[in-house]
Amino acid sequence: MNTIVSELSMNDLNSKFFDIIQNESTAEDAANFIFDSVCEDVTLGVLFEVHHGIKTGLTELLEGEKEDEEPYKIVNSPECDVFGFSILKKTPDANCSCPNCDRPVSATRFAPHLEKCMGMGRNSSRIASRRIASNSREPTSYAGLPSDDEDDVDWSGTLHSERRKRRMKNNKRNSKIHNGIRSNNGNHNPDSNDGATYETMSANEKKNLLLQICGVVSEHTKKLCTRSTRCPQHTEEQRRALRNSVLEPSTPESQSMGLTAEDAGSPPDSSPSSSCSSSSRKRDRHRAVPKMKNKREKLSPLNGRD
Amino acid sequence: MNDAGCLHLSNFKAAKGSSPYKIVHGFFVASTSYEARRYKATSCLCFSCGQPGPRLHSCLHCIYFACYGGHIQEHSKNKKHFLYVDLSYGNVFCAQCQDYIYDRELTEISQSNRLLEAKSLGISLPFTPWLPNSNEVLALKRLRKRRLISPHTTIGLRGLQNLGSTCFMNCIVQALIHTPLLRDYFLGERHKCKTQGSGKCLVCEVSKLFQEFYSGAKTPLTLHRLLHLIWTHARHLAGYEQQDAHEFFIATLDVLHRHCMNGVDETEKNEKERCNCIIDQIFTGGLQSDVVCTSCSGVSTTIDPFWDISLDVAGPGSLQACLERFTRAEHLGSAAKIKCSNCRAYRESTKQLTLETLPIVASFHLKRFEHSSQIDRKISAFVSFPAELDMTPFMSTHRRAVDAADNNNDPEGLFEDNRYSLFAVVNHLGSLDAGHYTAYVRQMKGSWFKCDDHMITRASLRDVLDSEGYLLFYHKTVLEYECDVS
Repeated sequence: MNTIVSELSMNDLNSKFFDIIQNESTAEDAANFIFDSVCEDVTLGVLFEVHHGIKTGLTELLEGEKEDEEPYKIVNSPECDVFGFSILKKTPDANCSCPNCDRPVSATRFAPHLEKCMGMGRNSSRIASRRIASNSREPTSYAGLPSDDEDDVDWSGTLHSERRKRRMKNNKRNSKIHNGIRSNNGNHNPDSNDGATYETMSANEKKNLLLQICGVVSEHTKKLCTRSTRCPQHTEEQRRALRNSVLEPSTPESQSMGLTAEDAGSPPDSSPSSSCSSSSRKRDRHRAVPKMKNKREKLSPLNGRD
Repeated sequence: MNDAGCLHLSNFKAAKGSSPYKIVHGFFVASTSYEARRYKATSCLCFSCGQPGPRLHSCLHCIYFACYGGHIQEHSKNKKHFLYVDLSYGNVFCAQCQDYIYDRELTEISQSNRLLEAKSLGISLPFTPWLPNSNEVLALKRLRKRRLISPHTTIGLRGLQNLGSTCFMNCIVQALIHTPLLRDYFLGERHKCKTQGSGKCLVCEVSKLFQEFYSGAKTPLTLHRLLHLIWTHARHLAGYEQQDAHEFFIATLDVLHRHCMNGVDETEKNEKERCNCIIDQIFTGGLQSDVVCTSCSGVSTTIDPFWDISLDVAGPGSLQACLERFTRAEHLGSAAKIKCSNCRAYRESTKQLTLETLPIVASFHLKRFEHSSQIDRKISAFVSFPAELDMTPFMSTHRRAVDAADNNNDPEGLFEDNRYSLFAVVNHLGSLDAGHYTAYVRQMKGSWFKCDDHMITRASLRDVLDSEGYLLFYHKTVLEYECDVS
């Protein structure tokens, strides 16, 4: 660095600085000078950036071929959302494949399906232990298992899927009979089966009943659900599973009746539009202290709701 | 892209290398040390006229300083020294080409000097525009099509199908997708995953989600795989019908944080004590708890990481008031004596919470659901929250200064900018027993949308600020660049 000629020393700089700021008019000049220098520097920076972009071709490279915005323009209308879909019309339901069981599920009913499918929920541990305990049992013996989660058992195992295929065949053959049977049994009083269980019913009684009502057995009250076969409280899967286990398709009686699990209620497209009521169980949930794992436990003092 | 300088510069570099540039730049453009700053302060005057400008340049051949008002040109002509450096930005002017020229090697020297300068001053790195490397240049050449993100198009917006009371998930996903820094991370394809394609990594799933949001498609998305992944990895979530958006948010961050490790080598994992995954970089702050013994005034301080702050809403009418109360010293009373390590006895004490470090995204949870043995209720009290929030008053350093009535501000506070901008609000509509979640999100500055499952509609800032507010998401307004010199 021999070539650098220092015109000033740090002492010179310091004394000059104090000279300048002690005099009001020179101090103001200095302030203006600094301000102008900063302004010029900032302006110069922008100019260099633009010059660099153009000279090196970077600007052209970054800009590329701009896509036409027209197809993506936001729709400005009080009747539509930004995509132009009517705010009154429901979106058409789509099917999605359940990542847990690979079965197609209506998208609007996916969450309740997944909860059952994964064996989650408030009673998941209870259900899980019961499932372990019942592992050795005949999976189709519904009577001993007052659970509304039996569908999980039904969905695994080739034996059952074969049976399902058979059922599907039956279903096709007999689909026309459905309405006829239904009209023959129109005088059932849904309230009369309080305390009723499937164990005490004959095969015929069960069938007739399940044409009328949802029939899913409550986890807590052990009672049958007497709402309609389209009741929103229970899922299609629950109803199907229940019918699968209650209406044992191998009994000669049910074969002759031509009634299958698919037939007894549960039309495939019966999903009512999803109404969101995510807080329906808020009370229970809020009492539960969230379980945080390992390091995250430290966060819980902030999150505790109790 | 042409950033190979010019023939004259190439000849110069062949003869003398790039060290003359490196020295001039490291001393007089970006001073990389205290010594360099001294040189710059005392010698940056035109050698011909003694003036500090206009626009001082240095001859690259003999380090002669002269102004652009004619003296540098004169020197160049007389000495046939055709290359000189602008001392404000370090760009090289070639007198034979009669233009500023740009050379990749010199640009890289300039960048590394800027980094050293910032480090030497202890300040954050100033912003510089993106300079693509050679691979990125190739990619930009090959892929010419550019999608614009503007306030007039739906690019970046997407409705989300309700999967049966899954509005709690939809509103959290909308808030996450509209988190500016998270968007930059994912659209920059920064998540490198070892389990790629296995369908088991939530970070990969979110990465795909960003692609979907910016694909230009208009039909609502079905987040069934996302829900399945989160439930699989956060088993404590108690079934869909009991879901709370706040709980889901924390669980999602936790799963994302754990899955970020999928891209990290086993050896790296053990080396670093503090997790540096994108979730922790964006969402983790440090909460300081000071317990002061009332007998001996001894202080016991602990710092815990946090992802969000839960605030009581009964009483205060604004977010700032809630935060003020949250960070106020609280007397613990005689029923909650704590063992003081100084007195070696159980003493009454006061406890104060303050924010030791702020996360880039500050998430606030207004505790609107009250549960006691007598009553369960939702508190719908109005709590105003601002579009721009300064967090400085709730910082540990600030609180300490106020308590000590100390007017001598910390010098480090000079560069601190703790301003935050609102970018998402999750609202709970209805009662405890039946309710619905919606979200307001900011797509870009001044452009707000309401997300109600599959329905996305325009909203005004007024709509957002007038809403009840359950979860509030703020993003740091000014981001600082870390000086990470390797």
